[in-house]
Amino acid sequence: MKKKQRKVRLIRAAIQLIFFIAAPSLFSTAFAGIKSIFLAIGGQQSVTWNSFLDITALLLIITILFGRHFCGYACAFGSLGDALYELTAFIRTKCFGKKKKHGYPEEWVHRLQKVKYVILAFLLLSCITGFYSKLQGMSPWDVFSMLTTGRLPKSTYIVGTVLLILIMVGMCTQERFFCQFLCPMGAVFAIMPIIPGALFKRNRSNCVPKCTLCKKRCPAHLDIDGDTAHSGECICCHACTAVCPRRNIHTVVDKN
Amino acid sequence: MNNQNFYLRLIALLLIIMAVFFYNGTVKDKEQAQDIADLTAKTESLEKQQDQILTALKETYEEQKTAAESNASSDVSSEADNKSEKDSTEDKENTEQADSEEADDSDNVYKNGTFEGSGTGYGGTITVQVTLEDDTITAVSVVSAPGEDSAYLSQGENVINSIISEQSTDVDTISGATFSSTGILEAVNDALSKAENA
Repeated sequence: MKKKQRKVRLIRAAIQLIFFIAAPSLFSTAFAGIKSIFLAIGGQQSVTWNSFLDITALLLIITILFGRHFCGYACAFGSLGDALYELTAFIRTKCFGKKKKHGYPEEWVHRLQKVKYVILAFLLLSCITGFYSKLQGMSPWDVFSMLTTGRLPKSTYIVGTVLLILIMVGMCTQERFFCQFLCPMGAVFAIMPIIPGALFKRNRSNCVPKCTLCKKRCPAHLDIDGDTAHSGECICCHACTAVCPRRNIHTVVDKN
Repeated sequence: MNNQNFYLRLIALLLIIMAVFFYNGTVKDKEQAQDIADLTAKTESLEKQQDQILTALKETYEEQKTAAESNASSDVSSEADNKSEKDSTEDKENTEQADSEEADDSDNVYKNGTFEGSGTGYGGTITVQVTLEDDTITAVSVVSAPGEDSAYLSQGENVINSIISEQSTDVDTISGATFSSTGILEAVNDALSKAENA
């Protein structure tokens, strides 16, 4: 079983690395598309299709059809979070002998997951009211994208740099810290109508009583029951399918 | 009910998309109404002008008529007058021509022609060509931008429209494509500095 988990994790890490190098700006491009709609409304102009919206539409359609595999496998910022979390976990086991997966308690996680909707609402409202132009230099994503092109951020990006450092610290403390709690694009993905067939579901009657291994392993602490109010939080990391001792978790697509 | 979250979200998404289309429709209607109002105002002012011109023409025609009648007796002197008038107008034309010939770019802030400049965008150097005519930026085109993501570059190029309409590089950058548009602005500034008359 451990072997299978390792294999799933390694395949995922390899795909993440490829996307990190090839397309590190997909997530911010997709969000720029969303912003462009609201900026147009704020400027009382008609919403026109642009090159950002190509990416936004593509990612949203993929998410609706196949779940949030983009978040789990292709998003460079998510990969950064995974790398930092794994690094912290590695240091914890090597130096302090703590083998247990670290993170926040379930209740905290579910509460903090709501914060990203507040951030999304704030950003979109500031786009509409024109306040957005005053936020220049505060985006941690801008700083991140400068770093991925191998340039140091300019002095006007101090706030963004500080925020990025804070986020990176947070990433070490909880798996997928940013994606779950703060990512405005993640909030958009999470409210997408993901086709129920693409969601992970377990056959409860076949479960080992009081096992809950899948829920413990899940970065979002989901119950993994197909279509629920929280099912949009699933980033399709496939950890639950790999950890289940009875191979009891599938998407409907898998099963058929 | 099975999958109720899915259906609720699907309906919400469709509503949002419909709202955007509805919004676009109202904006278009507003723009059309504005266009119609502008055009009617224009035609009205043109009609007024036309009337003014017609009445003015009529007045001058009548004035000339009376003048011609009174001058009919003294033909000889008026011919001489006419000749001198003609001469003076010819002179005027000549000087005007000279003026326009002199109006090359040495008096202007910038030389006429096409100039290249470069700036730093998202992932490298952006090179642009700026065409100047009598201190007016008539065209800006991106020659090369190897480090730019195509989605961002095509958004960033929108800054060119504002440069040309404002005739200045002191314009807002395109949000979402800050780096590309800043790079283009930098490049245009660089090209302008090369075009300056010493």
